[in-house]
Amino acid sequence: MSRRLHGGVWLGLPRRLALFCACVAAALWAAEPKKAVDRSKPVRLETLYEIVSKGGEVFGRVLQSSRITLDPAFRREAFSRTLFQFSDGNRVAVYSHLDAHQSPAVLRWLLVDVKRSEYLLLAAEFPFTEEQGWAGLEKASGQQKTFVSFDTPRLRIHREEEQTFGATNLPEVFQKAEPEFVEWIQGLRRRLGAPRGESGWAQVRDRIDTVAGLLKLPDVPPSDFDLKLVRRALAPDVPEAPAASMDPEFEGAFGKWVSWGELPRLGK
Amino acid sequence: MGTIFRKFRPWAGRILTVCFVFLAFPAGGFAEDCYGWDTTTACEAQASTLGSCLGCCQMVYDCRVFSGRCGIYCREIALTEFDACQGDCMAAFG
Repeated sequence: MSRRLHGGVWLGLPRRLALFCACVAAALWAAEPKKAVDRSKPVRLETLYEIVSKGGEVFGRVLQSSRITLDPAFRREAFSRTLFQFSDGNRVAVYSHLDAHQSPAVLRWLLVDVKRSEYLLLAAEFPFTEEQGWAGLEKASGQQKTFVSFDTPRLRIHREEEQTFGATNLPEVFQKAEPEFVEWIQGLRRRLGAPRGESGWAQVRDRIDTVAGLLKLPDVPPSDFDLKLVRRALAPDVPEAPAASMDPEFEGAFGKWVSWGELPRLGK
Repeated sequence: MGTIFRKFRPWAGRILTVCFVFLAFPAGGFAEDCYGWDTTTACEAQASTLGSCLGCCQMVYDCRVFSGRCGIYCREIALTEFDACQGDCMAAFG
């Protein structure tokens, strides 16, 4: 009895040792500091949402992605992409790219109706000095606003035309020339509703609202929908080690209208 | 001397209150309050969880954009800073 107990203790020892080692390893793994994100290099920030009605019905999904340098002292550009997949099969891509590598800083927005391959590219630029850096960009953007261009598959209004039409008339010119596109943007805005300053919606909807503001389109009523977080991810995104896409299948449904770090190529 | 004290005695409370206000707040000025969040301090330094940190980013963005001081281009810049704020939160609490 005593020998058996003795033998049991000795036989059990390796197992206990193994268990002890496993516990120590688990504790060390848990205590290991997370890989610090280099704030001076770009990161890929992605969030996947479901758009749900008040009754809980899923109305669509949104993949919001940004490529940004967290430290403003090292930030020279910001890229954002919002991909909408609605339950009726419609897909919308919204891009923005702010490039402040040199003066003037160039800010571009691209709205794409993926199903019809219709797009609207807007670009604006504002001069700033290198010393002002990213922090000075806001001030610079408020001082001088120049509409540089509108582009659709049929319409192109650039700086030269601005003198012909007059800068203040450009939204009117656009509205008259592209009534279907204006209706599409307004339909999209009505679908999503006006911003209410609630969580998540800002990134997802505010850029569409900005474009509508530049085109001087009328306001729409607030939204009845909410965003439900599905998952989010953050990863370093540098040329030597690009971050992987959070949902390649979701992106794949957008075909040629998917791009990362820069706007997709326009035209055929 | 006693006359001077008697003359200022009715004002003493008010003078002390003003002195307290000046001494109680830092010389750098008042922190800009946004629903309880300080817009001049990074959200990850004020929050204790990922959820509260992301909430702070949203509130700071809302305060900036819906205050009426942020124009159409400023809004885009505010959105990029909103992104960066969320990235900082995820790096700190993720």
